Amino acid sequence: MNFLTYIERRHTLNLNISIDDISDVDTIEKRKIMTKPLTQPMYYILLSLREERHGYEIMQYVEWLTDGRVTIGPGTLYSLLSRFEENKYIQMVSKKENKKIYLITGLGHEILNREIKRLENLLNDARKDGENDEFQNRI
Amino acid sequence: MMLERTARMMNFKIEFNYLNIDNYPSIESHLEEMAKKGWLLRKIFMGTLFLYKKIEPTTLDFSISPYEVETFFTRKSKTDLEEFQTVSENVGWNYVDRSYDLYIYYKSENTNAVPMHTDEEEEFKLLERIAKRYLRSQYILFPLIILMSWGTIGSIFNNVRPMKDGWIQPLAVLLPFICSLSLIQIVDLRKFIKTNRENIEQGRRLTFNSTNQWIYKTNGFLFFLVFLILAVYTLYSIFILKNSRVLTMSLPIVAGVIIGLMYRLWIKPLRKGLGFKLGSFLLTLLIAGLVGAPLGMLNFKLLTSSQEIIDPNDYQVLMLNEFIDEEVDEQGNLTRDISFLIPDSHEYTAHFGSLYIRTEYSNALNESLAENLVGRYIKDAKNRLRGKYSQEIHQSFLEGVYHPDLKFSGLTEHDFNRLYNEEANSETSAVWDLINSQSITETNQLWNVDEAYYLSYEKDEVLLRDGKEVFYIEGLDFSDPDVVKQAKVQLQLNE
Repeated sequence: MNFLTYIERRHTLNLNISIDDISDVDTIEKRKIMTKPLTQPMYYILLSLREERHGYEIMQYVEWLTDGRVTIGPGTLYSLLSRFEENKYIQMVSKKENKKIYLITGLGHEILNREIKRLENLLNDARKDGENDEFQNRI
Repeated sequence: MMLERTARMMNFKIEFNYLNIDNYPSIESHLEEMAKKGWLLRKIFMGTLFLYKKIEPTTLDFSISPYEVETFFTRKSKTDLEEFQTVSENVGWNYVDRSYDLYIYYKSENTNAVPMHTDEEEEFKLLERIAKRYLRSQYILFPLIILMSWGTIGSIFNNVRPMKDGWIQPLAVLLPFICSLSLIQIVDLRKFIKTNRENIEQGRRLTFNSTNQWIYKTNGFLFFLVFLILAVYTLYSIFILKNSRVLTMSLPIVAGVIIGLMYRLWIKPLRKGLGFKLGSFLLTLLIAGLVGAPLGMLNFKLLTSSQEIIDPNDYQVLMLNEFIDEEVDEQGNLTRDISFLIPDSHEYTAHFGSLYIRTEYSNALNESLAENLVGRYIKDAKNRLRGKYSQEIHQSFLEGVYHPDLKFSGLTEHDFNRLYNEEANSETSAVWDLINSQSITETNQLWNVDEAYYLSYEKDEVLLRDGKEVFYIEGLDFSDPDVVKQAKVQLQLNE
């Protein structure tokens, strides 16, 4: 995707991302950022990293947050963390006892907020689905 | 079989199997079965050689997890890997070993542990990345192997040298297998990516490969066998045969390993862009070339001087001092070789000033191989004659004038004029047939061996076969009965 198309899309999706944020991210990933919804582990990892956390803390936090409904295995977690770091969704802020501590970036925030908005829309649509009469009387 | 039996007695077991990103769930089940039988996996070499340790039969759960540690240009730090492994162990998985990008863990049946991978879509994304990387390397490797196979196998059937060379013969056996393996892997990986991309899009579970496994296993076995033969041969050649050629040949491999290590240690871990890393890689190659070339020359000189410990007097070779009147300080290099087809061979060139005599001795596995070797020497001699005189022949037929140097080729001026009048040219087979028949002639009565040929019109090259033994000698006038008599003494041939 060239940058002009990217800017165009950015406006369509109303994302506040600058070119600098993703200039180092590879082209295929750029396309994915703009078009695909997040998978469940992606969503929860980004959600956890609104505060500084290391890998194991993320696993525990997600389990606590979802009352054990969602668990993230170490294989899934660490492959996602490295992909997120490569794509600048998250960044390492410090190291404690050989554990890397991450925090979400501006780009990561935008991606997460867009997903939250998408999920809200889905939920609203489901609620609206109950008001069938309105659809029948629209004309 | 013997290896397996010995291993079992020593409380470990060796198995040829195959582990890759497109079949690991079936290996998980296999490892669980093995644990039930009392064998716990300890190590995997090159994805095919599995080493087990004896344990009490027990029920274990195995989990093989893809985790991409490194690509050609990026390397996660050791801390990343350690953290991944620590967390995996914290949640209840015990680490066994890794095989390329696959990490093998186990836990006892009763332990509750979060599965290593909890999301198939993410697991597939990772597998797809790894598979694409493997495919890229196969696309580069495949044509190279084809070229190598073509050259190696072609030379095995035609040339003199590969019959004596202990490296080429095992390689020629292995290369077609590697070639087919590379092709099968390309097909399998492409199919794996395509099928699972569809599976993920349609919300189905990932599917893994279960066919062609025997091909991979057989290849694995063959690879280790040939590798072992080559390693033993190399050591034997260096330490017992004192063969400097082998060490010189291994120099590019050593240089390659050093370049790889330099790149891996200093450049790969840097958090820099692709351009920087590519530039640095090329720079490393340049530096390695600049430093490696003089080192190689030095190495070669040292090795060549170490050859003097082999005394040519102990071998069936021709030495200058036996053929000239005054005693001279002759120089010479003797190299020895072993191979499956020619278990014993040596070559020696004695020289002093411009004088030289060369001996190539081969003791073949059987008489028919020795006859085959004679055929190759004759073919080589024909090629040499063509290489040596083609320019003179071409010029002569173009200008219609006999070139004086052609008198050493066996083509007389009379024959040339006759052929020229018959409108022959430099490519006419009659011309070369005549040169060959004049130069390569039998000379049995002088030598009293099974086969004896002059390989040049000047009669300074002779090929002899006595049973399984083949001699190629060069550098003296072998039409002289006194020279032949003395040569027979030195080559230990029957009077």
